[in-house]
Amino acid sequence: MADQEDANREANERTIVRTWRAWRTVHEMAADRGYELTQEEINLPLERFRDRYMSAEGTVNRSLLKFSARPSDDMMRKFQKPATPNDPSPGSDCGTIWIEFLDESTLGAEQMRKFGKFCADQNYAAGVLVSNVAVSASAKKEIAKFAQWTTIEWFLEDDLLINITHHDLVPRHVILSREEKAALLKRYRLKETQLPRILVRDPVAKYLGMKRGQVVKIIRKSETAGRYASYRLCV
Amino acid sequence: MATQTKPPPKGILKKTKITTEPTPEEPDAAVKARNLAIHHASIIHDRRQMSDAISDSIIDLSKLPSGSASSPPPSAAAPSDEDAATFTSQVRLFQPSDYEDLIEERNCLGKCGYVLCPKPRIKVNQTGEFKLVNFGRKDFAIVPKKEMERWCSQTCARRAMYIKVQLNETAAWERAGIEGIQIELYQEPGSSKTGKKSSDPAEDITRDLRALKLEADRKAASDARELALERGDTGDKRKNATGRCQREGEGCLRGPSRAFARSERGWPSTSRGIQTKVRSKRPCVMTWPARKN
Repeated sequence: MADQEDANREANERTIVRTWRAWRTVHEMAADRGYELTQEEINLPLERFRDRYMSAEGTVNRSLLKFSARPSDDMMRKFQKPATPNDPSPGSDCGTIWIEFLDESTLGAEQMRKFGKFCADQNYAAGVLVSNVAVSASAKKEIAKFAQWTTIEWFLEDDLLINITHHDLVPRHVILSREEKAALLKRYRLKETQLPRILVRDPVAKYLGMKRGQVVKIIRKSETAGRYASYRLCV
Repeated sequence: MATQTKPPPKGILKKTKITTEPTPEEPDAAVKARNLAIHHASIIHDRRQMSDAISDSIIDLSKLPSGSASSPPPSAAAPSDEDAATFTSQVRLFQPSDYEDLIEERNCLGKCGYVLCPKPRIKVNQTGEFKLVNFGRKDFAIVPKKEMERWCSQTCARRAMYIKVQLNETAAWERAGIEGIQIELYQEPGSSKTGKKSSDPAEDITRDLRALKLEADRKAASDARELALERGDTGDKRKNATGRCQREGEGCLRGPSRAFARSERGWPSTSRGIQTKVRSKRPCVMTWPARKN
């Protein structure tokens, strides 16, 4: 009996640590994308996390794991829509983001639809769903249906245990704004299709929330040149 | 620049009188174009609606069979009439891939992949990709663990696959109107043939006839396609090639050797590229420029 309890507690403890790490990575991700978050929110210590989000039974209370973040002014400016004669001061592509951990034990089409509807109704420009279970194929198909109102992304908790961009072998990725992209294409006299490519489902592209047609600047260290920049088009 | 001083290229076509009449017709043309655009837009809209309906029914069917705490759902072998009717009517428009999605969706919810089965799916408690089934017996098999975990039992897998083989790859909107396409549930081996389905022999016969007609239609379509392929009706190029070779019989025979000699002498790469591509189909074409030189 006591053994059983011990095993239970140990399993709970492991889930709490995993969830805390995913929670931290998600915050870092939002901050890296340019959303406004305080340093305190990003570097939440495990003890504080446990105080705040642990239920009485010692399990993590996922229904509390949700937050929204506003884009910083820099980010708004960077993703400004191009001005047209009809609309001289258009808005920005980015808006408030809603990040939520899945509270249920399954992630099917129905849950995804609920999440998409919620994000669309609350006028969130982007929604991130972090799931601790596998996502079904029909759930992924639901995402496209909300494309005109909100951008839905999903991550597995397992993939967020460590922040991949902090790895030694992952170079710095910077998304270019529309003007920067135009300048790049003009400078090298390229067409869009002549750039090297990066997939939308590339882990770093997913981390940065890239969309098709955006260009990312990859800054690598180089033995001979110090720094070496290459550019990739997201497809 | 030389290119700028050149006069514009002169057309070789005969000069035709430009009619100045289309102005009165213009509004009519605009209306026509608009109607055409609306027509195509509505077709796309209908298709979207159809695919939305399919994903809705995936969600609905993943919750079947319906039952409450007081009246537990019946077993997969003898489902309730209501559930069976919803299932067969909704699955009618599915493509096999949609059906696979439905099974995956049900598995995600922890249920057996067969829609009318109330049991949870099996969880195989072992590591490794494969599992041995019926060890030491005649029907021994090595089954991927993933495949096993989709169902509650082997019979349910059989029932679900019986549905899947009846589904058609054709797009849903092409099938929506055809009443002849009906999905049948798996006939349980235990139940006698004189069940409720076969109570009316006339109904049986009409069903068989309908199936036959559908089969005949499909056969006719595939035959026509094969014949077209054999005749070479699929593309204009193939047609031309055979036609010309027959007309120029001799040139056809002489072609390859000449073309080969030419390539020895060193032709520009582009023409050689064409040559190699075309040689098999219409070698005679390559003989023409040679005679002039």
